[in-house]
Amino acid sequence: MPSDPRIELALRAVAAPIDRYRSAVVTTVEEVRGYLASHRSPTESGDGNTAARLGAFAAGRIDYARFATLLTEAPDDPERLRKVEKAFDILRVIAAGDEDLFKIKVKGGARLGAAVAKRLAEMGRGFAAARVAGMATAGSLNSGSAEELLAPMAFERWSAAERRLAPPLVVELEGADLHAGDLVEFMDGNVKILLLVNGESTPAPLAPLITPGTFVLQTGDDTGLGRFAEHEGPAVAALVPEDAARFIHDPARGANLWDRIEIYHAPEKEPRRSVGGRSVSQQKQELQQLLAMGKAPVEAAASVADAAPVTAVAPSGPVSNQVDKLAAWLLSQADLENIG
Amino acid sequence: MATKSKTAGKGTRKRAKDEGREIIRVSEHTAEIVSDSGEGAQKCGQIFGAVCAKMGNGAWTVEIIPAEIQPPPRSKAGGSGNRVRFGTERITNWGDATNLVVAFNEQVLLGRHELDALADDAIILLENMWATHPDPDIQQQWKEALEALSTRNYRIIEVPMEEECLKIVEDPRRGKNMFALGLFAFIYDRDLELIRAQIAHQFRKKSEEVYARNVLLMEAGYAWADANLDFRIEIPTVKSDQPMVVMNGNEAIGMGAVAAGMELCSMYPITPATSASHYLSDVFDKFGGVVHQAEDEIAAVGVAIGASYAGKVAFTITSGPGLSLKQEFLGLAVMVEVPLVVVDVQRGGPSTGLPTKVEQSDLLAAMFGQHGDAPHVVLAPATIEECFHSMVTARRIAETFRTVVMVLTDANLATGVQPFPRPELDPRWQQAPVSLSPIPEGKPAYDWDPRTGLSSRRVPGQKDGMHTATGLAHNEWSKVAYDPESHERGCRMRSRKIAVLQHTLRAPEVYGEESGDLLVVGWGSTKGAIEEAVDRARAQGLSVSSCHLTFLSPLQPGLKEIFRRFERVMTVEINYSDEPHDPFITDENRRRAQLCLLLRAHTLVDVDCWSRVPGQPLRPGFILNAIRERLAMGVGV
Repeated sequence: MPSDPRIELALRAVAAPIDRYRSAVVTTVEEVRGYLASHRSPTESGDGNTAARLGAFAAGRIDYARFATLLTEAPDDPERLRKVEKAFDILRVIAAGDEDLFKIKVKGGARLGAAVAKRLAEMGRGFAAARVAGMATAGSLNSGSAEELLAPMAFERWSAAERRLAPPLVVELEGADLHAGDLVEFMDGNVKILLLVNGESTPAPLAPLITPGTFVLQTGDDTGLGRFAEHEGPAVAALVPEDAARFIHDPARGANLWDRIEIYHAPEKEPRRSVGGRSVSQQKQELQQLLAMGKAPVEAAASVADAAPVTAVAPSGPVSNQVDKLAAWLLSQADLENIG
Repeated sequence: MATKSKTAGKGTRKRAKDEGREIIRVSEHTAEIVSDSGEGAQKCGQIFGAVCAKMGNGAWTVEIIPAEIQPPPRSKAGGSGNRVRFGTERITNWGDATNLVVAFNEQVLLGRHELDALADDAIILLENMWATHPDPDIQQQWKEALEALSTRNYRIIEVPMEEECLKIVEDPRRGKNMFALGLFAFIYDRDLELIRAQIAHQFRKKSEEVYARNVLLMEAGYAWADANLDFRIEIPTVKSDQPMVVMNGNEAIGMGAVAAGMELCSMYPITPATSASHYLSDVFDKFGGVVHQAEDEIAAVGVAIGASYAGKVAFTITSGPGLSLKQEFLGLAVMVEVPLVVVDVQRGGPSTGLPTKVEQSDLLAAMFGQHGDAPHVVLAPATIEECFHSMVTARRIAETFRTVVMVLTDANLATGVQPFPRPELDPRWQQAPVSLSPIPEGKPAYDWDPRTGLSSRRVPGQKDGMHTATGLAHNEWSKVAYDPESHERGCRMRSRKIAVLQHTLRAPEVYGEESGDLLVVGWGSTKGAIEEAVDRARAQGLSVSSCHLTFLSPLQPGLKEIFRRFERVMTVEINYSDEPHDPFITDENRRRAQLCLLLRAHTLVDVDCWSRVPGQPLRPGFILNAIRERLAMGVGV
């Protein structure tokens, strides 16, 4: 059992995605087991195998030996069988793996992205193995050595379907090593990454990951973890220190950015020292960005109006966004109380 | 008011007193509930049947279904309900007569009485609200009905169901069924926890409140019976030493399709097949399958053929009228050699016929309904368990022989519930259907083995496998070819496959002695009733055996040899045949039952037949009478 209660909490949160992944792997294991059972042993490839394929209804009604002579499959060549057997072993190891398979601890000073990429690539061997098994059963496994086909498979090589079946990861790391950019490439399919942040972190380290389809959560407890696990799409969450912001960006909550973001705790104190190479100024901007994203246009426009020197700066966002803000500001200036 | 105290049931009857109550011990009993349509009697029977099976009784349930969706209330023909035959031993059919019935009005009961469905000494628990109904006509009907019922030895117990249910619900029409379930639960001493669990399962899509109300009603029925009945019926249960499952035939077909690795069920709703696709709609997508409801029967089979051609494992499910519509496309599947499983849940015909009632009259249509020569496979499961397993075999044969395999079930199997050992799933059932290996150079689209007619399957996208699929006559390259040799060869190759399959089949087993005076031959759902009739006949010293056929196209080998060992051979079927002594009927013009016709043609043996089309399963007692009658006619084929 994990000694850190946060790890326990995190593993509980990703239990359902782990079950889904395991279920997919176990199903594949059984399919490959069936393939091997029917192709591996010369004794099994005779009557017993024919009987198994025909099912119980055929018992006593079909002469298996005669029926077997009609099955047109060419005998498997040993090399192909070896590949499938190796794929089977890989899948069985993954299917039998305990929860450690879904946990990573990033050493202090190491890159988060590299650690995640390495673990996903290792788990990608399961997908590679499933591909090999699929090719074998479809009769198209002809070229490539087992080592080539069954090597760790980087996330960038995963198909869309495989990304939808991605295993969840619980990653423990120092706050100083939490660089959101490291995770951008993994935010696809149904990838779920839950970060356990130790020590000091920046106030809104995950804010840069907010995109319309990505569930992003910073929390100090189990708030939002249920929605994180259930989200149909990529999701990242972090259990952050007390002085960091806490917010949920849930794509299911609406089309507008401000509808999707719920900030339920903003740090009272401003950052005072650099963390992990990010300066105080950078940390402030990170937090301002989060707060701005969470505001509806009227509020945003009003705050823009209050800070006149900033409005003088040339707009840097998309034109449509600036137009929206301007429209909202004009609306806020109009006296609507006397109308009608 | 109990008018008599006699009860009935098969087996040794021992009586004992338990706190003043009579305990009737029997080895089996048949109970039924009958009501107007819409009063939930079927649900009550389904729950009761499932509970009996789960407690360790052998069971076989049959739905009592009116031919119309909403027949007039209180009509003799409009009775709806469920008949549950259960016992200590395995039960294989619905038996002869009901021993105990709960009826919601005297008219539906009268309907059952007139059908001779009730044992002479049946116990009847009858809703008594009609005796004092404000409408004098209804009161009169009540009196007349009871008078008619008094001609038999029934023990009638009036039950104030309406009055009791009104204590719990405002509309007893939506509650009497659970009250009746409580009556059954008390009388047969059923496990109340199991009943509650079964109610929860039955109403799993409803609110907690609905569940609680139904349990209250069931408990009220139980309490009423405890306070007012002076008897209970004990049928020992025997827990199976292996895990069992309980389901009806349509669910078994659906579950079998999943287990067989099928990927597409393309269908159009039709009674009595629809519930199979309803079941699949709930579960199929969890296993990667799709249920496609097409715009009509023809489109449904077309989609299935297309999916199969593309390399998927597809099947379609229908009933008689739907089978008629699909025939042209089935010819296409045979011609293009696309593997396809077709399930036909037979009902009474022709035309719209008897949509909710059982018949075995599609056999010849299934075999010969397509124009031209379209040889394919027809098989018929005989039990609900076989409904499950037949799907695995059907798929394998369809793929091995690249042909259509029809699975003929019927309304009796479709709606009947029976426990059977939980199947041990084998991943090899789900093996990928096609090999995508590149096609070796020079191999045609139909690389027919001239000896067997078998050829390897091509699917779109397969390297070097490109060809045009056509229902026109074609050569081995799948090129349209009208020359005499090509068509002759194609027909021969497609036909040869069926002969090759027949070569792999074993001779059917004979139930009973290997030779004798009479052999009864059946197929499909009549197996249990036929074998019970044979057992009874043999117990009476008659020299009778039976033989049940599961492969109908091709027929299993050795039939002629088996038939020769008996003085007389007779098929028993649920399809029409002329009686030999009817007016104008001669040996030359007599229309015989469908399997009989096939057997005569294939074996040149003078096979006789006894068949009925009552819209009900055959009763073992009726079959026994037919056996006696045929034996009395003398022997000699």
